[in-house]
Amino acid sequence: MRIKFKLSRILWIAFVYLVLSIFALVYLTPFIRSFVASFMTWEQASRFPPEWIPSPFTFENYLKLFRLELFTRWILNSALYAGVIVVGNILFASMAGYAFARLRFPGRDALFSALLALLMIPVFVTIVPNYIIVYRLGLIDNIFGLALLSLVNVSSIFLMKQYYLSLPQEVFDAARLDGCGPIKAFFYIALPLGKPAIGAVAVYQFLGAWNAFLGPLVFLRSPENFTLPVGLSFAFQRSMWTEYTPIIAGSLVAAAPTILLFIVLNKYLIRGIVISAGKG
Amino acid sequence: MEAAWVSRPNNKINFFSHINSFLKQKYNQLMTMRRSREALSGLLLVSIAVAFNMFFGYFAALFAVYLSFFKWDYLGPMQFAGLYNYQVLFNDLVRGFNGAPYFLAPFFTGLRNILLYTAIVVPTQTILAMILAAFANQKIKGVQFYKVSYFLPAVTCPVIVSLIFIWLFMKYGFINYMLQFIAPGFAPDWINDKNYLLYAIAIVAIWGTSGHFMVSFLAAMQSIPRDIYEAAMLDGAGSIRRFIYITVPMLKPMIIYVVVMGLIGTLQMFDLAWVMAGPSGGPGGSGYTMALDIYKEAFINLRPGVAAAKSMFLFSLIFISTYIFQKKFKVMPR
Amino acid sequence: MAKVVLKNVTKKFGKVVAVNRVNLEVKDGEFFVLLGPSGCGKSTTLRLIAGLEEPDEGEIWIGDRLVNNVDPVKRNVAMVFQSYALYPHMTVYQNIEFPLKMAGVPINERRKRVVEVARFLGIEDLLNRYPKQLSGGQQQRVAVARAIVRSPEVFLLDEPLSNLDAKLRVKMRFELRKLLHDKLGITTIYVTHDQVEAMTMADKIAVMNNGRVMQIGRPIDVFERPQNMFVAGFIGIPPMNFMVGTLIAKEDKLFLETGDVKIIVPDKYIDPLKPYVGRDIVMGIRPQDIIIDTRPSQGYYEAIVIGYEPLGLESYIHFSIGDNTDYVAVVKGRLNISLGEKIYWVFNKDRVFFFDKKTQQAIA
Repeated sequence: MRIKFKLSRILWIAFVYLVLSIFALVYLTPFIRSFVASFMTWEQASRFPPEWIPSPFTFENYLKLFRLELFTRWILNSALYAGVIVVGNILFASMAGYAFARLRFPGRDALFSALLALLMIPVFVTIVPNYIIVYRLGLIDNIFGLALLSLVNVSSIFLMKQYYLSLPQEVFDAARLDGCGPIKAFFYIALPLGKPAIGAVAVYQFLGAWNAFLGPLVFLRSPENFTLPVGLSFAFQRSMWTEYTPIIAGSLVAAAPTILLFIVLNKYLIRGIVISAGKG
Repeated sequence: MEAAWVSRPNNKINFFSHINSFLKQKYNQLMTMRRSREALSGLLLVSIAVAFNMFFGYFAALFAVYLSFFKWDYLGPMQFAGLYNYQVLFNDLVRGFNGAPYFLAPFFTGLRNILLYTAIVVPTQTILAMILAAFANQKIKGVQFYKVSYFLPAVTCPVIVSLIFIWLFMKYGFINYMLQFIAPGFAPDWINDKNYLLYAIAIVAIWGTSGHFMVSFLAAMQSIPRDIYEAAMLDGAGSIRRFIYITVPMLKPMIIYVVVMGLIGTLQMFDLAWVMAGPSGGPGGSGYTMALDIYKEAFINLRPGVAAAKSMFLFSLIFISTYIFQKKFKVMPR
Repeated sequence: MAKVVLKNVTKKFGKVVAVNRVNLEVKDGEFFVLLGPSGCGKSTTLRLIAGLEEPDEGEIWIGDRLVNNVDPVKRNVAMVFQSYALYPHMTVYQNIEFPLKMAGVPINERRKRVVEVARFLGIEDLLNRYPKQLSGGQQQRVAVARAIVRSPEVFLLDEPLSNLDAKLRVKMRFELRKLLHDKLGITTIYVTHDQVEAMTMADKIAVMNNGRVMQIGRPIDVFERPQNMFVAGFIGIPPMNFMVGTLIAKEDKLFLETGDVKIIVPDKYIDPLKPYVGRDIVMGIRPQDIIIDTRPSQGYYEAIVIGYEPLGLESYIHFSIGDNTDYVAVVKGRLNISLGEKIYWVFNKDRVFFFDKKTQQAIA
C-alpha cells in the first residue's frame, strides 16, 4: 500500500515535469531554430522537413548583414538611443523619486498621482500630437528628438520612489543633522544608496529602449537613422536580401543583448517585475 | 518635564530667559528656512521629470482631444470641423457593419479584427499562464530554469519575434511541420491566407506574453501561506478543489492585473500586425488593426484630425473594457 | 470519536530526526497534551497524526484504522493551526461551512450546522465578516468552529493560544478545555510549550525533548514523580534545583558532597541509593520545597545570597553553596537580606528527587 502511495506521487511529478518541459520547448524552440538557421543557407533553412544541422555551415548571413552599411548604423543608433534613455532615466527619475519619497513640498502627492494617472493614457492618443510637437521643434528624424518622449519614464520614477521609501528614515535624518541640505543629501546620500534601484531602472529602460518600435518608426524618417527593430522590419519589407536567412540572423543580433542581459540578471529582473505587478 | 531648579538672583533670571527666547527664535527661523529650502529643493528635483511627462503626456493628450475637432494636413492652417472627424469614424463603422469590404471601412475592419484578436488572446494567455504557474508551483527542483525559459520571449522585441515567426509560419515552415503530428493535413499558409493570419498573430502574442504572466501568477501563488492549503486538506478538499476554492480566489488581484494589462496591450496591438500583416493589414485586411488604422490615418493619409478622433475611440474602448472587467470581476462569486 | 495510537513512529528531515520512535496512546475522549520546548518534535508529531507529514517508520492508528497511507483529506481529523489558517477570502460563515461543503452536505443542513456551531461558540454575530476584520480571540473561535462543525474523530490543536495576549490566554484555555473535553467529549491532542497550559488542561501529558517522549503521565504524575531530569527540570516554575555531587557513606548514613556542604540523604532513600556510593549523583529539590532562615539553626546548611527577586506575594532567593551552581528558593512574602549575606537552608525531606548523573534517569 505504501508503494502505491509513492508511485502515484512519482507519476504526478513526472507528469508535471513533462508538461513544464514541453512548454519550455515551445518557448525556446523559435530561438533555437533561428540560431541554427542563421548559419544555414536559405536553401537549407527553407527545406521541409526542417533540418537542424547547418551543412554547409556558413557565416554568409551575418556577413551579408554587416556588408549592409545601414545595419551597422542601426546597431549604433539603437545603442545611442538606449544610452540616452538610460542616462536620462537614471538621472531624472532618481532625482524625482528621491524628492517624492523624502522631501516635502507643496503639491507633492497631487503631482505624483497625476504622473501615475498618465500610465492610463494609451500611447496612440499621444503619439500623433507628440509627433507634431517634435516636428515643430525640428527634431524629427533625430534620435534625441525621439528620446525626449521617454526620457523620464513614469515607471522609473515610481520604482525609485518606492525604493527610497524603503530606506530607513534615520539615514536621511543623520545627514540633515550633519548639516546636509536636501540637494547635497541627494548627491552624497541618496544617489550612492540608490544603486540597486538605479541598476534596475537602467536595465528595464535599456530593454525598453533597445526593443522600442512604434516610437522610432514614427519619429525617425531616414533609413540611416533607424534603430535596429525599425531597420530590420524595413529591410524585410523592402526585401533587401532576396533570402530570409539574413533577416533571421539580424533578428538574433538584435535579440542577443537583451537575451544575454536577461540570462545573467534573470533573478533580479523577474523579482522586479513581480513586485511592480503586486503594486499594480 | 521638570528641569533642575536653582535659585538665582533676579538679574540672572532675566539673562537666561533672554538667551532662551533668542535661541527659540533662531530655531524657528531655521526651521522655516529649512522647510522652504526643502520645498524648493523638492520642486527643483522633480521639475524635469514632471515637466517632460506633463508636456509629452497631458499636454499631448489634451492636444489630441483638441485636434480631433479640426481638419488639418500638417501644412496649412487648422480648420475647425466640429464633429466632422467623428462623423467619418461613424460612417466607417456603419459601412463596415453593413458588410462593406475592408478598404471601404478600414476602421471597422480594424475594430472587428482587434476585438476578435483580444477575445482569443486575453483569456488564453491568462488561463495558460495560471495553469503553467500551478504546475510550476509543485514542489519540484529546477523551477528557475522554467521561469527563465518562459520569460525569455517577453524580453525580446515583438518586431524581432514576428520576423522569426514569419519564417516559422511559412507554408513549409516549422510550425506546419509540427502540426503534422497533431493534425495531419492541416497546414495552412498562415501569413498569406486571410482566414488564418489573425490567428497566427494571436499565437505569436500568446507565445510572447504568457510566460511573463506565468511568472506573475507563480509569485502570487507562492505568497499564499502553506497552512491555508493544509487546513483545506484537512477540511476534505482534494487538489483540484483546493485549486478552485483556494488558489483561484486568492489570485483574484493578480488575475485582474493580468487581464487589465492584457486588454491594454491587445487592444492597441501594432508591432506584430505591422510586421506580419504589413502596413495595409495583409490579405483581405485580415491583419488590419485599429492601431494600424490610426497610424495610417496620421502618417499616410495625412489626416491627423481623424487619427486623433480614432485614438479617442480607442482610448474609450480600452478604458471602458478595463473598467467593466474590474467592476464585474470583483463582484463575481468566489 | 476514536482513540489514537502511535507505534514507534519516526520522522526524519534529512539528517535531523525530528520524531524518534515515539509511542503513545490517546484514549477515546481524552485531552492529551504534547508538551516540550521548541524543536522537540511535538508539532511534527501532531502533523504526522493529521497526515500532513508521512512517517518514515512506525504505525499511526486512528480508531481501528491504520492511517499511515490515508490522505489527510480522508482522515476525518480536524486541526486548529497556530496561525488559525482561516481562508482570508471567505466570510466567517463560508469558512465554517467549507468542510461541510467538501463533504457534500446539502445547503440547508449546512446552514443549520454552521449557525448552530457559531452560536455555540458565541460568534453568530460575526458570520458575515471577513477574518481580517476580527480580533485574535475571535479568529481563534472561528478556527475552532470550523474544526468542530463536522464532528471529527480527533481534534488537533497546534499552540492555539500562543498568538493571544496573556489575559485572553488564561480565559481561552479554560474555555477550550470546557468545550472540547466537557461539552463535546472529543478526543483532543494539544501541542504547547507552555507548561501551565499543559498542567491545567490535560488529562495526560507527554513531555517531549529532541524527538523523544521523555514521560507520559497525568499532570500530577509528571510533577510529583518525574522519571528523568529533563521532565523534572522542565515542569515547575522556577525550575527544580539540581545539586550534583558525590555520594559518600559515613557510619550508616549517606551524604551528598557538593561544593562546601555535605547534605544528608533522607533515610528512605538510603537503600535505593546504596549502589551509587562513590559515584556522582544528582539531587533535585524544587525551590518551593526549600526553607530559608536568616539565623543558623539545627540541621540547616549554610549558603551565600547571590540574588533576590521580590515578586509581591513571594520572593525568589538565589543562593550559592560553593559548587559553581546557582540555586533558587521560594519564600513567602519578603526577606530582608542583602548580597553576600549568609543564609541557612533546609529542604522538605519528603519532596526530594535523586537522579543518575549519567543516564539522567530517576532513582526511586
